[in-house]
Amino acid sequence: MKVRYRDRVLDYPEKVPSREKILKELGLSPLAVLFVDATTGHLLPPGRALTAEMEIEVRAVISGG
Amino acid sequence: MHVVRCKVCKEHEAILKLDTYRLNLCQGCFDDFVLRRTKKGIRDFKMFGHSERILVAVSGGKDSLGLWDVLVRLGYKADGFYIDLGIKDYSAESKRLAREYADKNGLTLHVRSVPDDFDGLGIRDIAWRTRRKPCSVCGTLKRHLMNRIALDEKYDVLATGHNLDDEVTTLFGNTLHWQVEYLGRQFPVLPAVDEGLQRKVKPLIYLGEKEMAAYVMVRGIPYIYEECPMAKGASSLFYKDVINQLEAHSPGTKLAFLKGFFDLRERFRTEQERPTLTSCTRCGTLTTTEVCAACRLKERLAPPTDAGGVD
Repeated sequence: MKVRYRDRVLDYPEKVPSREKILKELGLSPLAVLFVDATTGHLLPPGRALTAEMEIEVRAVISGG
Repeated sequence: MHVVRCKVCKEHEAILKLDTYRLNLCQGCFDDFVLRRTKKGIRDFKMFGHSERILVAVSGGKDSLGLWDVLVRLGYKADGFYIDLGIKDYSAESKRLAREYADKNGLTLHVRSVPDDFDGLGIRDIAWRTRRKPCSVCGTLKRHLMNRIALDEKYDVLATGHNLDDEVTTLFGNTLHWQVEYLGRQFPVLPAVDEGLQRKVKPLIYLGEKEMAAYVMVRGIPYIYEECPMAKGASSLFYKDVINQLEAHSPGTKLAFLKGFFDLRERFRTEQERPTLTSCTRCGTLTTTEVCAACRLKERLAPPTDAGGVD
């Protein structure tokens, strides 16, 4: 499974991680991001299981300045 | 396959979990949620009516495009206003997205350009030359141009896409530094001042960043989601992270903090809040000083008119 976040790409060739583990690795709060199915561009529904074939985008929603 | 159902209609699959409300919502119920929360903000703070002309400040980001979309869907007379800040690729892309939304929906978008007004200089150059922070210069010029166009084009109200997270972050920063004067002015509605400064409103006061990002996604509205390059390292981003940690620990904290402040706000209001306003001697905009902040910036950039002290 591939996870994209801005310029970073995380690759999980074997074990599929949980959403929590992905966020922990990226150092992000669940309140600050949306999980998007990179193939369809749609939001990934809560509870929908992640699979090894998926490509996911973790999209930051925080804006500042 | 495990499917989480919408907590409202109990029929469709949920597309989003709203942690603050412990709600899983399907696309239709989430859309309804956003419209209702915006209506509530407009109603609670008596922001505007359907007969008034609204100018929405549009940056090309999720909040401003989402706000414009919601207001139009709610039947308000809302036009857009985009300011080209001259931040190279970022401005080009955000302007393209703002135009694209306007054209696709047959809406009016006014465009003004900072470089056109400042001899080709963008925010970064103006900030560097005047030794000010880019976000400070940006705020000054945006306020100036927004007031100017609202007055010239006879709009009743100026609406900005500030959301719940923005307002809580501002409140957090003002409280942390005890900026009492700013606390006295922080509110979702700033009334019009004479004929020169139009009413300013923040209809997304009850909606967070995540909700607005999800809204534009489900509505299929392309928006710029890269952070403004000038905002890198801004305190507000750090504060938002801290506030999100508090919210994750105790859902509802953001809303309770802001609502509690609104209840106490009168205590921070002082007589100094309504200073005497006069017309800027250079451009005519209402200001508290002889020359407005935007014209002072221009003067600091202008080359000296005499050699001063050279024999």
